Amino acid sequence: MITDAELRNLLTDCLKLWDVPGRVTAEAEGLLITAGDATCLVRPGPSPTRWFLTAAARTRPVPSVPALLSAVRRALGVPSGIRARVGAGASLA
Amino acid sequence: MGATPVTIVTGFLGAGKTTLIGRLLRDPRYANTAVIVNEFGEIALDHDLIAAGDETLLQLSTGCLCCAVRSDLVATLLDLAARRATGEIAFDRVVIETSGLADPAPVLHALMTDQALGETFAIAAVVTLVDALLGAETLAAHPEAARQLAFADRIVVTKTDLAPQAPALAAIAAHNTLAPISEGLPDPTLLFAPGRNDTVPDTLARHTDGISVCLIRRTEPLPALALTLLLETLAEQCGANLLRVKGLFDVAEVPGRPAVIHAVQHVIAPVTFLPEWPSDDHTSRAVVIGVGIPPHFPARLLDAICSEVRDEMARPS
Repeated sequence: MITDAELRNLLTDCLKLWDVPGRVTAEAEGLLITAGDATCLVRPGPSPTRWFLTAAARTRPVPSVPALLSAVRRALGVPSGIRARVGAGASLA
Repeated sequence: MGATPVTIVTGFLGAGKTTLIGRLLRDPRYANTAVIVNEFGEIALDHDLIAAGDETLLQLSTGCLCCAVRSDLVATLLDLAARRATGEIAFDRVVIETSGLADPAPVLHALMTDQALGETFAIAAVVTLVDALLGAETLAAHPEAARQLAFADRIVVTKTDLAPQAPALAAIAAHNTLAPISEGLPDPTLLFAPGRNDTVPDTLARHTDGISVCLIRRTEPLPALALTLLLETLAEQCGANLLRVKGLFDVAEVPGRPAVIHAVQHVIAPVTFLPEWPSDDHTSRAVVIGVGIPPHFPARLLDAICSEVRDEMARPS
């Protein structure tokens, strides 16, 4: 399980990556992400849930870090990312 | 016969691509090279300037390669292969010259994602030309030039007879610190040789002029699932800001055989495994090149994913 500090650094990086002005702060109940009018709270959950994300008065379970980043992104109103595609053509040397 | 190497020659308008291609076609060291020239305009001037009069010199002049004629490029390559199979022409390597404004990413995507090319062609390198005379100013003024340089596996500095290299080299260093730099027409073995997979510097992370070069280096073998999730998540979260990922990974399930990872933006090449490590350095290592990617993001993401995957693997079923 990653620590709160590690997750906070990762989420802070994501805000920069998405070009969203905001911050991630450690609160008693979990990590609070604030970006403009939007806020969401991330707290660890029991396995296999791993994380709970609370946004817009709704709490949902999230099973992994990749899923958590997608969920936070949606909660903050950032447009969807790009789905990876495996190339089946010419290989790259 | 193995896959025919394809080298993409790019560089901004006036960088000297056509001159380089002309010299290449006249150089006996480059015999048996098919050249595809992309021109952006109705008059095929570059084709006339090269003036090789060769069946293996082909022009695509219906638009810019990166936005309009990707299917033409694939069709041209397949046509070349078919004509070679009948004995009509002979070649054992291909050079694609892009137009000066082309973004290399869609060209690479077209080659990487068309299944018909998979057995016949392999992408050897992206070679980007920067001219010593105007290269520094061009890189500062035109984001297209900066992207061309960020994608480069090799860099050629041209027009060194007209100006000193130093300003261009300084500008190059602000955009691409990894690709080897040469001057003039490189030896064919350099232009078409597969890129080295183990050239990842030790510096933790570098931020250059708008282009981020992020490094990952890990000594512990990684679960294969963690590697898959890393690539998927980088593609999703970095989006269009992700330009290139390349690296070697020690995958726990395949000990002793490093996994070679290549991605161009969100398109990931199928993972291949080398028969052995290319050097005594057996650590997993990769570079993630992009625009505005926080320098530690890829490494932090990998650590978080690995931690979760290992937790799951350790959990009693």
